[in-house]
Amino acid sequence: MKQDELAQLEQEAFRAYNSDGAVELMLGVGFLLMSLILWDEASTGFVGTIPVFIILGIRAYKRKITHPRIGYAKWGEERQRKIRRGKIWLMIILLTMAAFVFLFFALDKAGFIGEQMSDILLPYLFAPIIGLAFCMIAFIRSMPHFYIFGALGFLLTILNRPWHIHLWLILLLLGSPSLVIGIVRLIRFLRNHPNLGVQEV
Amino acid sequence: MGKPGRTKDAGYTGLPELNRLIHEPARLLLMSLLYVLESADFVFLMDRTNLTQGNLSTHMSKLESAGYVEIRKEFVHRRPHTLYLLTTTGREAFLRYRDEIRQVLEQGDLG
Repeated sequence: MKQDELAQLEQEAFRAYNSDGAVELMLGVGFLLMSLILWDEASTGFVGTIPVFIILGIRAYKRKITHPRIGYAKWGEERQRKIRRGKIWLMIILLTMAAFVFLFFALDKAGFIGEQMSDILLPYLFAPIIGLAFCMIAFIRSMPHFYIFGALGFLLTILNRPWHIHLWLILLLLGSPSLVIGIVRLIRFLRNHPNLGVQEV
Repeated sequence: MGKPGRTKDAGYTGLPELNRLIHEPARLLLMSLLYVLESADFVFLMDRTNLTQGNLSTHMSKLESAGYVEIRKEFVHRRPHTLYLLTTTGREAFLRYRDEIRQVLEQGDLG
């Protein structure tokens, strides 16, 4: 077996493991929940806890649905390095986003940024970060369709002010297709990988 | 005693002696999978190879008794998992097999 054939074998195994729709489904549910919360404007503070529920949801999903059907594997050194690198970058992106939010609102409160300026700046500040966050998910999980979500997130954030697209609508527009893709992938996964009920051997 | 899986073949000696234990298609696939992964459980190997539970069990036993595969018990998400991984001997045997089969194919190309 040639090296590229081995790499292909590993890639196919990784793709199969991630073909369960877990990430799409949980992100979809998470975004729709965020959208609902922001639309209602009742408890916007709760939005920050949603990513934690998404991560816990993916783990539970893998344990209950994926592992009994497709099993569990620990990836090779190269893949682990790639995942680790991706996670670090994702963390950097999210921390940068948090720092920008903090800095922006601190400067805004201190009166350094006018209302007009804030309207212009805000989308350009967040759009690349939102786009990059999706691209990192696509990179870590080898899920190319998340690059489309990245582009969509970037565009919608840029158009946020001129087109008066509210944040809850952006989240709804990102969450709905993610949820639909997740459901379709889950159905396909359940059909292709029935639970054989194999106990520990 | 010779190396595990090696057969004494008195035939044509121009070609390298292949490791028959790895040369079997199902076991070659299993060895290849375990070579690119750190470890995998029984269900994962079954899913990737399309082997039945009995067949996979037999192949894994053969690889294990040759010292190519090791079994490790671990907790994954607080559940016990039996994971299979290649031993150093197994990795070396797989790499050696790769070189040998490459040689065989290259020599075949000359003809």
